[in-house]
Amino acid sequence: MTTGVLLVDDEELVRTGLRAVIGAEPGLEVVGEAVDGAEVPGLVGRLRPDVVLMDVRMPAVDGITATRELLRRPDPPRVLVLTTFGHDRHVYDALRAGATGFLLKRTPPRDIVRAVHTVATGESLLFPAAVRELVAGFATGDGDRLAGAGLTAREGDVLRLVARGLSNAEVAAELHLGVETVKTHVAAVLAKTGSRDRTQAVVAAYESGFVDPRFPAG
Amino acid sequence: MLLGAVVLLPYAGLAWLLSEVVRSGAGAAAATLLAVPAVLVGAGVLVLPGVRELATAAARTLLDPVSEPAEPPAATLPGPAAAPGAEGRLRAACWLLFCVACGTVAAAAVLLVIPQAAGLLLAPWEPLPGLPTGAAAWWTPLAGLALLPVAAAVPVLLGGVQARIAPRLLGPTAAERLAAELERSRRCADRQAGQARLARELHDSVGHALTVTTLQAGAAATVLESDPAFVRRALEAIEHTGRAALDDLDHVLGLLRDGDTAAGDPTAGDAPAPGPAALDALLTGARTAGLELSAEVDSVAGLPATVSRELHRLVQEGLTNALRHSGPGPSTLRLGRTGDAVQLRIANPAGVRRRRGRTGSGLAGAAERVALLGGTFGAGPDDDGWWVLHAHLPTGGGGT
Repeated sequence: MTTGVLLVDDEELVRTGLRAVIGAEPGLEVVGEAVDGAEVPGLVGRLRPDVVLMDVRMPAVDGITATRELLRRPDPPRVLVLTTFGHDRHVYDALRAGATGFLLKRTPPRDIVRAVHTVATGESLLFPAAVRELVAGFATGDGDRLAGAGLTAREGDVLRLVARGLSNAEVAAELHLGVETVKTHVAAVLAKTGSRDRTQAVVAAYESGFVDPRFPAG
Repeated sequence: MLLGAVVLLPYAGLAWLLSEVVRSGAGAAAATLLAVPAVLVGAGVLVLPGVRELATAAARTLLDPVSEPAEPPAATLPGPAAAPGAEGRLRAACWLLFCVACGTVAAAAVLLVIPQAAGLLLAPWEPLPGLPTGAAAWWTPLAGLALLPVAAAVPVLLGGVQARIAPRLLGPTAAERLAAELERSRRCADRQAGQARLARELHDSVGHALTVTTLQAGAAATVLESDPAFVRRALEAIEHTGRAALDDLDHVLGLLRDGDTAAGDPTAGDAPAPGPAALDALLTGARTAGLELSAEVDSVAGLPATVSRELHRLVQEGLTNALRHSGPGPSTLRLGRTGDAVQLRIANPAGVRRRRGRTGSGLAGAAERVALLGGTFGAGPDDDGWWVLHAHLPTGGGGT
């Protein structure tokens, strides 16, 4: 199964570079390009990409707004936000708006394609350390979605390990559980925290103080 | 001190004149008649405008070498531009009186002690009134020698005391210190704002260039064998981008080297600005995104780069806000150009979500940047149910 990718960036050299890197990877295919967030809804409706690589700053409609709009759709693609600098308030805002992860534009080609694969499958959190730093730097502390979530002790354990970037199989090994059981726990965590993927749940966990972003999760 | 002694002369002359008048028996009435205006004039001189400046300049020239080395002269003595208030004048008058006193003492020391010492030195060989002579005067040369350092020490000591007191009497008053401090902090803030802006420019331009070249190089390596045509294009892009970034770097670092004035000048130090095509793309983008927009735009060709860049940002900011917050109905954009300025006005029907008095950080940033360019900026709801962004940017009538 091929993963379709839509590139959204107002800089042509970024688009051509990403197209070359992603196009050379078996299993990934660039299905389209856009130069502004304003074009995204139309292209997504027509091209049905699995992953959207989305720049943050664009002339008319920025990546955060476009991401927010996109996730209102019934079956939205995953959004991977493109950024020049990692420690950027806009990247954090994009994660809060529902982006599954973010990707530094200077990331080496093999890590770019790995990130797209990771986001497409949703099996583990992308760049857990970077996400932790972002949340530690920019969390507003007003998101307390976990307070009334009513997670069980076991679900709490699973969420802590997910925040460390562990995949379902790795969580299963750590907790001596079956992979299917872990999947059930993860699904429960997402449902109870109102998160659409692991990234959202982890951001919520950090923001509510369930996991302290200033210290390595564990 | 020397000045004190010089200033003393007319006063001494006046005093002698008065005493002569009194002694000649002209009567108390005549003496008073003469004395009152004389004293008034004498005192008036002390508080005349300019006395403080003169005294300060003289003190700075004559005393600074012996003043506290830790304190720079400018910090202890006010510059000539400082207009003295009543307090400053009074203190300057005190200083002048003090100088006269010091001058009197020093003149007395020099004029009385030195002849006295000479007399003592010569006493054994020369009969002088009031002094022993011959063998009985064996001690007088020693006393004379001992007196000479006294004659030298008195002016030196008094000079030291004056140097110490000068900053207190001639130095800035509390109000002057405050004004100077305010001025200094304002200049410092200006400089920092300018430097912060240049740092942002560098961050943006060099960060962008490095990102693009890194990505292109990585991509070229990935498809080295499968797509040689891409590799060629990538190498050309890397060369071009690197060169443009170095030009930017050269420009900005040149401005930083040029010092404070250039760094604080908001019109300096920008990379090539977006042109008319980029502006059109913004309008098209906003319409594509669903904004009902009627636009009337004068040509922006030939504007200074900083103005052009700021206009682009403002249009982007304004259209983004209109897209986010506009109520139903068409928005309007008017960009008008006169000989020495551009006017931008973007208006959209005020939406219900926009609350009065709240401005986003984007608008606050725009206001700061426009102010740096010497323009005016405003954004907010008007009384007719419109949300209006307007900016006036001087163009200086030339390009950069």
